[in-house]
Amino acid sequence: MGVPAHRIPALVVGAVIVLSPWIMPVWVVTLLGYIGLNAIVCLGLVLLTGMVGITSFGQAAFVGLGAYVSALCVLGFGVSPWLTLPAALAASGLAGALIGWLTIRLSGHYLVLGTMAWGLGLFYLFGNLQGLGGFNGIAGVPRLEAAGLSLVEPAPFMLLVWAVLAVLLAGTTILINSRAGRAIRALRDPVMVESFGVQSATLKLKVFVVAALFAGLAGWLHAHYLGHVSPSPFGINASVDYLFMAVIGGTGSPAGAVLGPAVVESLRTLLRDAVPALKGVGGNFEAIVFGALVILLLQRASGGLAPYLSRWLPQRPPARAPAMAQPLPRRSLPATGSALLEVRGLGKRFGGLVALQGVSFDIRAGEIVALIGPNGAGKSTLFNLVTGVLPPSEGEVLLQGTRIETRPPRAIAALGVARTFQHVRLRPTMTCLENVAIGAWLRGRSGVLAGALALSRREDAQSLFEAQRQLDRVGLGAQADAPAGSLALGSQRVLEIARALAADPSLLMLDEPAAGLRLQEKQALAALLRELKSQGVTVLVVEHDMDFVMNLVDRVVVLQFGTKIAEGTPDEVRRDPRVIEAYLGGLDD
Amino acid sequence: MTALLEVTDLHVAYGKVEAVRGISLSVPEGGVVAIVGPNGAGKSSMLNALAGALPASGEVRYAGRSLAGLPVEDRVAAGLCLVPERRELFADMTVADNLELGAFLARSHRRDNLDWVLKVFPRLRERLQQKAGTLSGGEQQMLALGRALLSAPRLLMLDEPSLGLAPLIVREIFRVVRQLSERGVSLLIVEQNARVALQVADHAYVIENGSVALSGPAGELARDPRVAAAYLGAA
Amino acid sequence: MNAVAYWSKSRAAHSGSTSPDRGRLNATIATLLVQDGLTSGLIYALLAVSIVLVFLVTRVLWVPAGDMVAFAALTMSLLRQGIAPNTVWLLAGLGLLAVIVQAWRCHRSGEWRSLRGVLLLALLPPLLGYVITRSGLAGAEAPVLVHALITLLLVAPMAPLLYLTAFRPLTEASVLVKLIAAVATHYMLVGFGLLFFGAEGLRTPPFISGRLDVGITTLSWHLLLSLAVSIVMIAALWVFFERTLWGKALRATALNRFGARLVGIRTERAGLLAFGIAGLIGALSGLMIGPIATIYYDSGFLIGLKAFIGVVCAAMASFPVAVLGALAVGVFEAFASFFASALKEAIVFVLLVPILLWRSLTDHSLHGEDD
Repeated sequence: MGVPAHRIPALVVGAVIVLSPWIMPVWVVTLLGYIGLNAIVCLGLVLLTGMVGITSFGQAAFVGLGAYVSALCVLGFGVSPWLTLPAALAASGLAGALIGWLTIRLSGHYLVLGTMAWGLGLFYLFGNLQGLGGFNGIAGVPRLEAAGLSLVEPAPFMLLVWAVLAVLLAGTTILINSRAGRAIRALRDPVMVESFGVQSATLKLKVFVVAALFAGLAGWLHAHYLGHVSPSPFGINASVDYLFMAVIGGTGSPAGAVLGPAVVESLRTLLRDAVPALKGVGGNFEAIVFGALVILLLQRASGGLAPYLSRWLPQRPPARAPAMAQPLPRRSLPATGSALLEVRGLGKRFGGLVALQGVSFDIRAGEIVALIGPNGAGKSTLFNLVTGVLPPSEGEVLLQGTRIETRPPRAIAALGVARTFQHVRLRPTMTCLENVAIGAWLRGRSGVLAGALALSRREDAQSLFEAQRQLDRVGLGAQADAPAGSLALGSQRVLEIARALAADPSLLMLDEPAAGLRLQEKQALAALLRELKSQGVTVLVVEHDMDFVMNLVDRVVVLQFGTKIAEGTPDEVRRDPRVIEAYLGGLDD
Repeated sequence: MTALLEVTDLHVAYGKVEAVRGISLSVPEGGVVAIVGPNGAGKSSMLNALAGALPASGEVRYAGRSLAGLPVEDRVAAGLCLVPERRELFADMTVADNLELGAFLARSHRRDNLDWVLKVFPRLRERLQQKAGTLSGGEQQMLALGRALLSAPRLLMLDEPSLGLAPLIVREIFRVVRQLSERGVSLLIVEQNARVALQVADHAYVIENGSVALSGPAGELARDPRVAAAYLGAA
Repeated sequence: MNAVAYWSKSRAAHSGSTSPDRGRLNATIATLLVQDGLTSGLIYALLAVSIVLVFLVTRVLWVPAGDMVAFAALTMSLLRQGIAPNTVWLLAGLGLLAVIVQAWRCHRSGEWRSLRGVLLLALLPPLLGYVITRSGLAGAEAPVLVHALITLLLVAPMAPLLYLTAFRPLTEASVLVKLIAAVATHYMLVGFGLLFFGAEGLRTPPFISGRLDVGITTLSWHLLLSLAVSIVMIAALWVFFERTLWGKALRATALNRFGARLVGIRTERAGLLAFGIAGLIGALSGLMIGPIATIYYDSGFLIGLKAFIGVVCAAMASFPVAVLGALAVGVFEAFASFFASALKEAIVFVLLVPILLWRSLTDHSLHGEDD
């Protein structure tokens, strides 16, 4: 049975690691132990910073929490060192949930400062709380023992660390490629994922907790290896170290979590041994070198070193849809001609500015309706009100009789509305197949835990199968493996439509789908929409482009200055003098 | 006589969107050129590229020299100024400060230019110490125009000057535009409101889908039914 | 770096020229605590102003602000002892880096004129500093003012040089990338600090010792001096921003970068100016903190972080609020140190979290920002 090519590098590294106690000198084995330990924390950062975009300068605090709790449990309650693991995980998980809940409510640079704040806060707690031994810490923590052998030697410890790391790497990789993993990878665009029903805040929190758990696990290992815990390895400098390691290795993939610590710890050992021989001053050349390295990487190669490495190594094949899978459950579509969307007296004010006022119209099932108007007419505002991105100042919106105007985008998605975006919102590094599969989020239920434990395989396969079906439907079937960013704009807009269709919507809402397209692309898009209409899909198109809209839609609603000025068939509207004036301008001198 | 601005086969793309696909035009010294066309046609992208804010390929020659690689600030120093669609005023600073900053590079002529600007826009004179962000839409447009004038431009580019403004204000602004032309400032005006733009221009181009669909003397185009078709689609 | 030693030293050595009775709080002690708080608070306040300025103009969170303070304090202490400080070499090193980066830029763009200005900024101050400190003009008996000016000469240029090396290439990057770069810069500076200043902590003898009796209480002369310097600095900044063209240009760049470019203001020049002012403020603050605390090569981080609390209060945008916030941190710290000296730092940083939360929720300028 052949081994897939992309797994070979990992197997080779694994083999070297396992054999190292016999073929390498002791200092290498010790180094490998520290690399592995740091990699466990950095793996959490790859998920947190790399995938979700939360830059954390506080992970060392969770490591410390795990270490201190382990030490206290084993010394205070006399349990076996192995049994302190659940305690360490519980402590770091709980702290992660609490701190995470607060932290993810912060945005941008406030969030990063927040991670520094609690990182420092916990550090000072460690150093100052009674019974924790102050800044000298707690000594005499028993070592781990297995089969009568104390794991105090570098070799057995290193093997344990790498065994744990291997399990975590496997789980993380499986998670990343699962249903939940795709949603996590898309969390950098919360507006987009929310429009497909993903609870982005909850998912972010889960990832935060996972990163905290990884760190707590590393803390447990740390405590029982070194035999003592003190605050200094868990302070802000350690947190900065972890982040820098992750940045240097590359936060974009789990490989970076191993590469970063490998590069940094090796360089560190080199500098410590080489430079003092020259200068007699130990210690801080590392800081200078690593600071400079990070700045250089940020300026030139913000993906870290892993992408360079991966160019030389065989790549993991992209996720593929299975040949056969049980189709996902489908929504029952409303009867053709019944009222699907009803907008009644909708209005929106921004402070003193009236963006929209008294707009009312209907969309019936099976129709294609266009919403047009000159720039500034209020089309985008209306779109955002209907999709739940903004709350209205007055009026209502009913979807199949249910009022939706105050509901969030997630809920509206669940009721059967799917949308595309004026400025294409795809994940450019994910394949077309994976992007479309995000649309099917609400049609499955498995989450992060199931994903990591490989329990969601069936739903993963189903959503990929559905994604392939939609890709074929829109004519992009052959591009399933291509990264979404490599497509031309026209194809990207069609890809967004495929993603929306994967949600099995009763109403498809398209936001300026023809913007920026060439003539052939517009014609292809129009043909696709006509095809979808003949299959019974109801579509609302917001557009500027009259040509595009005129030969495509059943009815047109025209807005200007926030009010509806005309409604009717394309021909009626084109001849309406008010519409002509709105578009061409009506100033006579 | 060579044109002040000579654009040949301009292509502008941002991200995936190819906004401008091979536009060629020219602005004679002292002329007023209007660019009209439906929204999304690429007009604003073109002006932004000419100002140096968007990367572009093709040839752009201003006063005989190529502008390739020249950053925004240097083009302003050479007299090529832009009043952008969003005006980009310094909202928390006073009208007076905004105008003074307009003369950042043209300090020597500041007094004269300021006097002229306050003469044609008396509303600004009344509101000199008011914060720019508190002005009405029309006054902000006047301030944006005034600020650009204090840079002593040779070629002034206006991006949708009538956007969001009531007809009376639009009239006032285009009146000033005409006066500018009489003072010798060359103008390149992008406008969605075709009628008003064609009234003030000498020559015009109609842009559709990123390329020139029609061009000619403004008076002729004002009567041409194809202009309406560009906006409302072919019948 | 021996962090354990550092933390225990720092706790023992932190601000407060008077050690209050570990007894009950009364009016006398409270007044003294407020004074202590204001003395360090003024330094945090000046730093906070520099951090807000740099952020508004360049979107860089100036984490190394505190390091400028530490280096200036150490330089001054060394000068007062008659020792020629190694700051000259540190500055020269940074200058060399900046020249290399600029030369690379000029090579790529083909335009070499801009190298001249960078060479001047990079090489003139350390050269001058070297000559002066080794000439005997700046021995231990020289007046305080001479030493102060030398310190400013040697430390203030570090900030704009760092801008040229680390941050200018990141002009188009996101705020978060700039933040990581700022942390990395701080990291490097701490490394340089140990190399050039050693691990020993230094304290400057007070410029004016003693206290002034004003009847109801006594005010330390140092506090009055700090107050005077701070007021002059803030007044000078006010005049700069409100009345000079370049000051208005900086404000304009902070408000609307595109608009500033459209009137011909070069954003990079504005950035350089902002960093220059930040360097000056940092060096000045270092002069003032020297007499009230023992400063180590790595003391800068905590000082900077406390200034940051004031900055966050101001949502990174308002100078007066930043000043008030920073002053409040100083006073809060003084009182916290009296009641629970051990947990003082923990309290201060836990305080930061609710402020961050409040500000993050109310700061509307964030909602355009991408990752």
